[in-house]
Amino acid sequence: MLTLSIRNLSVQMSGNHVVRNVSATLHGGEMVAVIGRNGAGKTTLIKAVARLVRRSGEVTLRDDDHVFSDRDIAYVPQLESVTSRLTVFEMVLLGLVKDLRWKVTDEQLERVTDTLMELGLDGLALKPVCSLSGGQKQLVFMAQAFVSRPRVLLLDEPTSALDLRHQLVVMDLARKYTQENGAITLFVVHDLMLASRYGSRLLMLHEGRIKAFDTAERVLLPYLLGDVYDVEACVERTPPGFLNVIPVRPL
Amino acid sequence: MPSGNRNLYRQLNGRRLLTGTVLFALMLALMVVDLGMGSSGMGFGDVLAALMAGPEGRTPHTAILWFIRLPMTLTCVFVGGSLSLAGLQIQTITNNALASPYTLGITAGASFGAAVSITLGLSVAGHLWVGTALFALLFALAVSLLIFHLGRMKGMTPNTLILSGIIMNFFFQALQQYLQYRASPEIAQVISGWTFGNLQRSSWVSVAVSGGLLAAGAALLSGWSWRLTVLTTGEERARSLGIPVERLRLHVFLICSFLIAGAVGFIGTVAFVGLVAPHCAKLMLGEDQRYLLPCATILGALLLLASSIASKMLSGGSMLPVGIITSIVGVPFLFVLLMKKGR
Repeated sequence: MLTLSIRNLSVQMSGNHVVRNVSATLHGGEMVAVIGRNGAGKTTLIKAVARLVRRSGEVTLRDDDHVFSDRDIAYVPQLESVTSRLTVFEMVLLGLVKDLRWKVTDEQLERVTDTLMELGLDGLALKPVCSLSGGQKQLVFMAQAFVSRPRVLLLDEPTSALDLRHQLVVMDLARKYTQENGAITLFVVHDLMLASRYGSRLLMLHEGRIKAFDTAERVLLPYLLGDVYDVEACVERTPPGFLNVIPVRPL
Repeated sequence: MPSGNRNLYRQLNGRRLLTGTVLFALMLALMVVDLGMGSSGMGFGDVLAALMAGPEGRTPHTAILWFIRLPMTLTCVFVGGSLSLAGLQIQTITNNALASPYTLGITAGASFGAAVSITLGLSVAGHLWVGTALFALLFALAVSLLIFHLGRMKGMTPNTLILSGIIMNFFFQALQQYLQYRASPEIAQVISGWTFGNLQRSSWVSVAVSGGLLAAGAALLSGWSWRLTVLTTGEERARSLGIPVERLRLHVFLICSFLIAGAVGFIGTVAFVGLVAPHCAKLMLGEDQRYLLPCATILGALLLLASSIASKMLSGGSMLPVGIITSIVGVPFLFVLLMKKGR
């Protein structure tokens, strides 16, 4: 089984420890939500896993037979404004940039075509990405990550700035990819209901350290929420069965 | 229709290739027109005959073509191409659609270098123009190295690049103005004339230097076509796709510096080609740098050739400084661009 082992991962920026001695083991087919207040080190943690920031500690990705490299880890940054006139097809193709030569191979074109089909983006293939809505853009960037068939998917606030429908569409796609490919997905999210709905486990960060790492039921507890978010909160189970956190007042 | 999009993508690239070929053919045609224009008129047949005769031909047409017009036309092509290519990549590394070779302050450095040489009357091998060109080149490269080191120390971010450029522009413009203020009216006029960008300062040396730098720069940049395309999608996204953004920016900046130095060192500063041509190329071809990079280079050459032809037509066979024409064309274009961006 695919395993992502994070051992004593630390990140220092301008003399401050943004991430401190984080250790966790994640398994194939699992989606883990990274939660915590602003500045807790959530984005830095997943960037450190992707080796996009200078880090200390160890991150190992392996299954029973192989040890995999960073090439098998895809990081999808937060959605930002896109001014490029690249088409959807070209943007997704760039997900294969490490292997692209001047002439794009038939196999690479096939992979882009298939990925666009999987995400229902085939009708937008020749549209400029800058002309799409926020939700569509996020789907394009998910497709860009999926096209290289990564074993680990790191999503930084994939639902921020999206409407309710697109939040579900994006997260459903991430779950489908994770389950069908036996991949591991680590996603940063502020919406705790989305965290409990899609995260098989929640990794709660506080001041760069792990405060809790367990199922939603064991992490979304009023006393932990009080410690981490400085709010009095109550937790209730919604009719579909997900946990929902209702902030009552700031502490 | 799973293969439908694949075929459409191929067709799109086929159209881009065709556009590039048409632009290249148009550039060759304008080169012939430019060669035929001048104070002593020359028809298409005369141009062809003089070209075929080679530099050893003994007719007046051969001498005019090989020693005056051909260096001028080729310099025009290489300078236009270099400025456009540098402009395109400066826009890419600064992530700023309004950036151009002027943005980095390298042209201001070149102008000051030329002004120093003109003021001191420095000549190389008995030629004043060689001294001026050499000083312009050296100062352009010195400014580039300064920004390069600043970038290495502080991180090669778009802000570092643009702020360094603003500082360099103000600093060297002030120094140049001081020189002009202190110089005799004659010298001040020569300094001012240099900043117009005049193709009449062309020679086979300018052809070799600007052409050599353009060929080397274009070859190196073409090798990074995919990386540069990724960079247009944003810094964070480029990093996430494994692009070493800082290193790429440093290398591209260095190449652009040489391109700009080679372009303005001989003929002086030429405005707007480095801004207008890349934008036209993006509108025509999109942002895939495999096609954009060569076509922006050709379009830059085309634009400067058209300006050269226009300047010859406007002044009845002699030549207005081409920099004046490019500015007249460039300002309305920039205005339209700003209006479109504002909407």
